[in-house]
Amino acid sequence: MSMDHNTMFTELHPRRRPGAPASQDTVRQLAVIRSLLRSISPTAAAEAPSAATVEPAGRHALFTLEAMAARKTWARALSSEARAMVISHLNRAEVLGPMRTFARAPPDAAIAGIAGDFPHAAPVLDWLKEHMALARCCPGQELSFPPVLLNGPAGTGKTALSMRLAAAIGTHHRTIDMSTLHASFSVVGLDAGYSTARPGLIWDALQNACMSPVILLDELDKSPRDAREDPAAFLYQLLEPSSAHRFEDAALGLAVDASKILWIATCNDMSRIDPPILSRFMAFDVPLPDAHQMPAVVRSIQRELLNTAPWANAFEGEIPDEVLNLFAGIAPRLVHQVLRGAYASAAQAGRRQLCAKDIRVPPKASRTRPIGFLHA
Amino acid sequence: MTTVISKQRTQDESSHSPFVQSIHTLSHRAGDLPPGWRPVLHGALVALRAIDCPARAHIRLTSPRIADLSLDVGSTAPDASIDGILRRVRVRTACTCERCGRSGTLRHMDRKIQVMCAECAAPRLLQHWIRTFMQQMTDTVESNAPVTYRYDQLPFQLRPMIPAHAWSMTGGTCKGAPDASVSLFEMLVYQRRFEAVGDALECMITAADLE
Repeated sequence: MSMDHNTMFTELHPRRRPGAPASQDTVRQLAVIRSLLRSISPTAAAEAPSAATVEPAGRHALFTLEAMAARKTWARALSSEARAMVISHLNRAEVLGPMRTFARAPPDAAIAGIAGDFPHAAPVLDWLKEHMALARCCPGQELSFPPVLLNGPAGTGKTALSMRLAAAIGTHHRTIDMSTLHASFSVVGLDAGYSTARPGLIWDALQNACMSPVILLDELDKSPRDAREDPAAFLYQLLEPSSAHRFEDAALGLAVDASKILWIATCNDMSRIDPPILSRFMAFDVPLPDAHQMPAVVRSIQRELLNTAPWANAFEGEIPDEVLNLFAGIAPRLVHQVLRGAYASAAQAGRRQLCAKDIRVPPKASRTRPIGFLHA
Repeated sequence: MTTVISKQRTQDESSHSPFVQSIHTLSHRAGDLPPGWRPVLHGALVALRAIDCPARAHIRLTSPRIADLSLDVGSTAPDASIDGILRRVRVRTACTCERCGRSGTLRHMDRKIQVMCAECAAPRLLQHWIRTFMQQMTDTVESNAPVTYRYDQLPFQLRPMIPAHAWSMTGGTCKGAPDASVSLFEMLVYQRRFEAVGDALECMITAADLE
């Protein structure tokens, strides 16, 4: 509470006794001000209920001030180190305030650009377009969609697609590499009883003006599990909107609304995901691009390569069609390597444009047969 | 014809007593006064004209001046009737809006105190509080301390600019809830709205002052 600020207003503007009726002068001034605000901007006179309903951007409470006050009271009883950590995080959230915005539906052109670069992911992009159209039906264009699972063979561009989607949605995004996640406390926090206690990734992602961050769960099917601990167990709560509505970080214990998080997961084998978790996702297949789709994929990868490579100016931007046809059947991940090798070959030959002999597809690595008993 | 009449009027005025001449002078100087106070002065001049008599012919009225937040007109000699009329000017202007002539009260405007009615004061007070509040927010945001603005401690002129749901979602109801509050971060979201309304009021008030 800013005492200076409140004192300043109190001195200049004596406070009315609580419950006392407003003076005639106050009533007349307020009527004039509301009328003025309406004439200046239809949304400016926001106190009137009718105007409040036309507020352009919807804002929602991430937590309640009562819960915040209760957690601060609880934190004061903690040991000094934990107390400092908990109170500093709670203070930071309080400074940001409980009211946050939603992600807004991006323009169709943004999704159309992604669809051009990922023609083999048309079903998921069409489905997202439908949800964006639905979001545009509400005044704040608040975007929400069920958790999405992109399933497909390795190297088809699932992770790249999910990153592009997160960037198009326009909110901040975080990535959780499920293949290396051995414990969930880095995601949902470590209890304040431990000396190394700190809030997790979910709490950090929500400490922003927007309460709809995009969280990418990479390699969901490769989450290491054992009998004692399932690092992906936090998904049971967070992927279910009704329970995510009151998510509590283990370190801070403040109930926050995590139901607006936008989840995008990738996997290579859906059968290795727990059925209860799988049932929470809307799953889409992202296959290898076919021969017709491949040129668009190659061009998008080449564009990205030339945008980042320091030697890009030494080559012409366009790839001849006969060269593009040679990429058929190659996984998009491999296209990057092949293209880089092709440019190296062209540089060696002193050319500014790629030709067919520059394209050298590396042989597939042979997999050794596993040692052990063969299953029938 | 017009020339004849104006000449005749000039001759009449020159033949008038100093008292009547000072009444004429006062009526000519009324244009320099705040527009809301001119009818008060005109009414007083009509009353003074009505009590003109040879006994008061030597009395002169002084130029009007604004003193103690009211219009003060003096006279060169004491006279109960004239003093009464002039006192009434002082008393009435002290509670008459300078801008429109409606009933008004003393108000702390930006750096000065003026008599204004609610209708004329509201935009100016709103502009004043927007300026003060924006400056205060700018100073506070650097302190990085948790700040909340309580409903009952915020100038009531600013309250209509904050959406009802911002109050209601933070622990109270919008109207008459002293415990309702809005955080600094929430206020910063409405900063552009404050700026836009402040700019529009600036233009509106400047145009009104020029009229």
